[in-house]
Amino acid sequence: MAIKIQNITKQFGDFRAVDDVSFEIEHGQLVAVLGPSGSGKSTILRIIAGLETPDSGEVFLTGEEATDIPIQERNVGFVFQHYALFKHMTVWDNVAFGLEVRKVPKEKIQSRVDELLKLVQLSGYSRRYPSQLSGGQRQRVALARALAPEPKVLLLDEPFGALDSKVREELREWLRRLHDEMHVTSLFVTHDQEEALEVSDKVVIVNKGKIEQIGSPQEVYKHPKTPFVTSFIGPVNVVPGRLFGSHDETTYVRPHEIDLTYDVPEGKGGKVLPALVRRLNHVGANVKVDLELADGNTLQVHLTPERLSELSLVEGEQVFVSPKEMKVFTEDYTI
Amino acid sequence: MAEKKLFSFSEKGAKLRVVLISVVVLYIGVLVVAPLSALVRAVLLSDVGSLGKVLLQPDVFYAFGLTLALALAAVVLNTFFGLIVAWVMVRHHFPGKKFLNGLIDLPFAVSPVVVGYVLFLLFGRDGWFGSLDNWIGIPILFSWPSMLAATVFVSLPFVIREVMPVLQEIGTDQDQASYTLGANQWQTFWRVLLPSIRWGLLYGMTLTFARSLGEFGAVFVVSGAITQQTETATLFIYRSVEEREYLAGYSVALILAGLSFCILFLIEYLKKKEEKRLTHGH
Repeated sequence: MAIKIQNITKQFGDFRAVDDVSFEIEHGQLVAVLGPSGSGKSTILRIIAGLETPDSGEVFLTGEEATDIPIQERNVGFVFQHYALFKHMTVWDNVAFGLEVRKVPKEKIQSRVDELLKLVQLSGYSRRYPSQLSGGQRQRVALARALAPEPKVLLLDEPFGALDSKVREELREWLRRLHDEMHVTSLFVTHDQEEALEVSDKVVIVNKGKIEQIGSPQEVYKHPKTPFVTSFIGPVNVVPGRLFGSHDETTYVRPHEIDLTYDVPEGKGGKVLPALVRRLNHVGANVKVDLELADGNTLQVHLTPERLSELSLVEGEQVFVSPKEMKVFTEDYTI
Repeated sequence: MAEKKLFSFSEKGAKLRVVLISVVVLYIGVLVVAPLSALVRAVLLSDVGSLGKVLLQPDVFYAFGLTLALALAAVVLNTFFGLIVAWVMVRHHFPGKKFLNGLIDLPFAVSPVVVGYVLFLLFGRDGWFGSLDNWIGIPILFSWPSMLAATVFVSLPFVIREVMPVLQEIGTDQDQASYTLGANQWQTFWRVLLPSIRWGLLYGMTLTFARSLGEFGAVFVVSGAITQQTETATLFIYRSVEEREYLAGYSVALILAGLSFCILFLIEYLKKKEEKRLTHGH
């Protein structure tokens, strides 16, 4: 195991940021820690790096107990959301820093820095200062700097969080390719589910300081284990129990896993609901259909343009809603 | 473009702008430029030929030496402790921090004469530290230790006040990055922290130096102003005026003012150059 954390707990004042969290990450994987802001995901990452001390629990890095090892000796690469580049140093000096403080011989530093700058496609920028670079370039420098001392693991804290969406997308594809070349175990924190599902081998979903689910992107998308994961990963309709199931159940249906028909399909008696077409939105690859159910609840359905023209749906029409796939969770009643 | 903007304002706005600019120019002019030109004029009108002779008088020489020594020592002490204070105030939270923060500005608020008097009371025969000079074997009052204490006190806030906002702004990210890259605290301080705050620090040191050069009241009270023993440049100016030795007074004053100006301009120039380097490259 490259990274293993066991029963990690961290409290800030009255706020329990991380609550008894354990997981393991295999060598060479690219893993996303996904959760909403305030879920404790960054704290977990910072505890692994040694930037934060856990109240209890253990951290293991490449099989060795690291809980009490100071940051400097953990040999982890860390990439910060706001780059944290040394502003008074050139790109070259930034990347060389981790090697210089380790007293690596000069010729070795020279070749390693050149190699890394080539890797992050910034060879021509070595004499520039961070203030002369774009956000995406800065984050690539930060990545090269973190990789320079050949860390055991690479930790990235919302690495694309400060970038605009186009650069974000480019950079995350690039990170995936880079990872496939380098094979350094990487753990990155994000609140963006699309980013997590697209880039990673494995996703750790965190909410309120606890782990909700760990699995491959496909697993957590197809088979979410908790209501939180279901609604956090991808768009979902939340339907109160009395429509599809018993009264203490809630049904989660993804908008593209619903079909619309004019008649009640055969053999689907209990799983069909009448609804009124309120609005058709043609923006994007799919058509978004807003429906109003008999009890006033709303439901969104995504139809392919082909299916829409088959139906020749018009706003104001009455249709039947039949979910192709749905998830039912029993609600926890707290009085 | 600037003119166009000025006149695109309404008549009233333009008038207000002219009035405001005039007020600023007059204010700065009367307070800063006028006294300085008067000083230059006074020196030029008097016997310029003997200026050199005046400045080579042993008591003038001594006074400048003492002033420079005190100012440099004050810079060293206030830089060292100022850095620590600024660091603690920005990075740590403790009860009474706000109170302490207010206390730092005290030297700006209290008259230097009062400061001198307080030191006098502290180190006088019946003061709390009255027997300290017996302990360390050198006199404190009417000697350099009390003069240094007075100078350090009046110039205390500058480094702290210049460094604190810079520390606040850079935050802890760069330090943390340095640690994750394997640097220890010593390396992080010298290679990451100090270079990032160096302009604020240098500014604070310059102001400390300039303020120390000009200190009069507190030093006057504790030093006794003994010629060629505890007489600094400002005390010399005072004595010259008292004794109607105007040429000597003017000359020393002009050199003191010139010194402060040069330092301020130098620092401004260096800062501009650095900013250019960081944004436009080589």
